[in-house]
Amino acid sequence: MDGNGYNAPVTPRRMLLLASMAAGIGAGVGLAHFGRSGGSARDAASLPGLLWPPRGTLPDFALTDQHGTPFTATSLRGRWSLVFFGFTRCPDVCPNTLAALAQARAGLAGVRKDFSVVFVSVDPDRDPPGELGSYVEHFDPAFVGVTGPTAELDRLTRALGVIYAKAPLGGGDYSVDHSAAVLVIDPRARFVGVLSAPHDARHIVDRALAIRAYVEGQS
Amino acid sequence: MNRTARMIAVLLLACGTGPARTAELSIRDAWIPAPPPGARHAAAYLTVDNRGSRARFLSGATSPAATAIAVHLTEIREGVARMRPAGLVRVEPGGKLVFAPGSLHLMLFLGETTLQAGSTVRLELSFDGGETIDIDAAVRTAGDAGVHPR
Repeated sequence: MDGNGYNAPVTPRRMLLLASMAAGIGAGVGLAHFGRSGGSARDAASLPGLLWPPRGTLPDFALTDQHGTPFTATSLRGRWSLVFFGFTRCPDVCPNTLAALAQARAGLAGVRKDFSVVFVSVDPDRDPPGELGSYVEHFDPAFVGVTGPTAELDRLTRALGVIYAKAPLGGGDYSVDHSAAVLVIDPRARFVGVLSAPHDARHIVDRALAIRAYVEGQS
Repeated sequence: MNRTARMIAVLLLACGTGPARTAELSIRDAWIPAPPPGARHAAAYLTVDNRGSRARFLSGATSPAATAIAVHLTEIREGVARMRPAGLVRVEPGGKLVFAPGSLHLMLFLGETTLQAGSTVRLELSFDGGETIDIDAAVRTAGDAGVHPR
């Protein structure tokens, strides 16, 4: 591992570029899936961020939450989830997105449509699972913070079209470039929506409810 | 304390979180979203106004609450958030420079310091020519409550 804590054989910038190309990232992560099949493509295309039909359930991955409990694809079953990737040393996008998600969740509770919020740290070297609790619970005591080994993170990020890469800041410090979207997972652990940044609570609520209503109407 | 000194002290206190200024530059609306407990970083947001007739440059910032402060720029391109050092930041003559969520921010390295909502943090911004301006940034709970779906 070098002085930046980065041990991959390619440079961060190159890795990000490759990942972008591999994931087919367009104007919003995952939006490239639109219109590739399905009789309901027209309905689906009119709903911002909806991914329909879904590509199946999420693959197996083994992460750990802030309580030390395993967090897997099964953990996403039985509830609607909003998933966001980031890292705790991110002072701007991550806390502002989590604050917006906390406000959104309060709004969703008002219409009895609960969503679980999952923050996935893509900086496991500096964010051990046990230290994620005080971070995510600052925004909402119900938030779940998870992370795990890079190989396990990558199973999840690849399935969701999420990209991340370390970016040196100098002096041995680094930032982590990461997809800024909030991803919508349905109770069958299917990836059904992408809410693209910038985020505010009203837009999260409106789009998440619309996607949820559409998916619930299909099954 | 003589009367003059007392008056100066009162005036200094009265400055509070109001705009801080020099002849050409002023800073207003400085705030910091209260970071989670144990967080080692926080972002500060503010607006710099340049009433002068020449461009000015922010060269750095310090604070008693931070071991260091970096001027950073967040960019979201093709769905990916990137944070980078902003370099020398320019304030156009007659213009303003806004530090806001998702864009320019001062990144405070807090060390062991904890910032509580409701408190203030003194920031000292340095500009070209060695000019400095102090301002108190209000630590606030991020966002506001009361968002309801339509």
